[in-house]
Amino acid sequence: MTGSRPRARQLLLLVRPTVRSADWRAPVASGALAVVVGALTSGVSPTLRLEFAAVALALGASSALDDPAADSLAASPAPVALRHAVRAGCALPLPAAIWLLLVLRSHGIDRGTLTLELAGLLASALALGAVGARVGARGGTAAGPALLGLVTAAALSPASMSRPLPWAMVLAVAGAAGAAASRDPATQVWRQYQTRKA
Amino acid sequence: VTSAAHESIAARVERPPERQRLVAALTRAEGRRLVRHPIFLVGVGLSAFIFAIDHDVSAESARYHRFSVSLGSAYSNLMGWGLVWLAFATLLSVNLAVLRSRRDGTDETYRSLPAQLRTRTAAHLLAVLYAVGIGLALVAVDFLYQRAGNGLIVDYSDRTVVPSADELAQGVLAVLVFGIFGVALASWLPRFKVTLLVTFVLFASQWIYVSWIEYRPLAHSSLRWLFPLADSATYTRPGAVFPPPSRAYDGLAGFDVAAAGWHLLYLASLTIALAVLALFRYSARRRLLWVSGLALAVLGTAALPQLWA
Repeated sequence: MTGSRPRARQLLLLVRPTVRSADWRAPVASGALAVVVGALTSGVSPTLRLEFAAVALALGASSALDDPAADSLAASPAPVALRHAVRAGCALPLPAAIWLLLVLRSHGIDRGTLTLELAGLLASALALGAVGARVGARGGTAAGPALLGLVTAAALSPASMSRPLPWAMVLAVAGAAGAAASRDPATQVWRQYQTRKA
Repeated sequence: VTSAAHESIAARVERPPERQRLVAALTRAEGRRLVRHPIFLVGVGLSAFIFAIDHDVSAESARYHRFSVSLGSAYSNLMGWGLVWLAFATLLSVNLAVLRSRRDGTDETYRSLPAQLRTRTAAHLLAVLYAVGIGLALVAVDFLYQRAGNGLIVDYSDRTVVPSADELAQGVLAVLVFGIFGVALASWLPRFKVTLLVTFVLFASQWIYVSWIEYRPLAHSSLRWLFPLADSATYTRPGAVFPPPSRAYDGLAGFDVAAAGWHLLYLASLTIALAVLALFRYSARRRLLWVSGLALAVLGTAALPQLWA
């Protein structure tokens, strides 16, 4: 089942069960938190409010790739990358919708940069989750604190993070890391590395 | 024969001296694991970094920088802000330690052991003291490094003030409160996702309401003392900030050491209340109820003078 059409069919078939089996409590709670943070901090600058909302939404997405049935599914024809893509695709519309709601209600902000910041944080959360899942059993356990660490590093960074370039770089690096971590463990490169390590 | 032997072991470890020995042994093991946890090590590193980069600067050499070398930062760090990263790292790593058995699916196995859940929870609570020791060491080293005994410059008139013991203890006690909170949270809401969101709420509320320069509506209000980390600075005018990033924010009247003292009592009773809450999850004993009632009464009483001191 390696052709593009069977793969697309496989993808469509996986969407419904993934949506049904996903744990929605964390994304819903983080979405509510993002809205509440915005409502409770009316005196804060809209930029900072949206930055906090972005962190909350990314935290909710940090466990999106956690699959309790990952071990059983490892032997299925659907590769890890496809399963990760489906889980990520199912998890992203909720934060995207909440973000849209928050951004459209805010004025005097750089919408593009802030949306890029959210994209960078979401991509980082998913990539860290994928790396965590590759290294250990639960990616979300590693991804959440690592994401908070990334946000802390951005806050303490001597370079200004309010420009689009740093977040575009974060997005690119996270995308590459996520894709690399979602490679099937049985692929040739990985197998060669394991053989060499052994 | 086997069940009889198990019963006798369980009965023996329930005797106070045996239980204390067991708790002490588990505390040592958990404490060692805590100080080697990657999140905890990052927290220690960040706190040490913040302590190291903020020097005692005079009005002439003060400048605002993202790495905060503004005037008064050294005093502010010793007042507890330097330990904020250690406190949050302790919360997360202690919480992960309590949830370890759940994550690894060994809860059932542990239930078959003579040591009860209450004993393990007590050990986790006491293991937080390792983090407190590290926090204390960081504050002590920074106190000597900054030569704070001779006074630190706190405003643009180059006034020097020696941090009081009550102020120095605040950050260390905040580490204890955050650690105990991590255990209580894991006991009652055993999901790490919940802990992450709660940590974010704690951080965001502390940042927005108390420490963010442009907003912090509670910085001049006595309600700031209800947060674990609050500075004791008092001001001569509404727009003043401590530490002041520039002359425009200058306006420090002094430090409310009396309220800082009451705040320590508030933090101590908060610690006891949270510890009892964690223990209460696995042992609903009447004595615990009394202790928690007493702690909450002290908490309520201690919260009042700090608001009006």
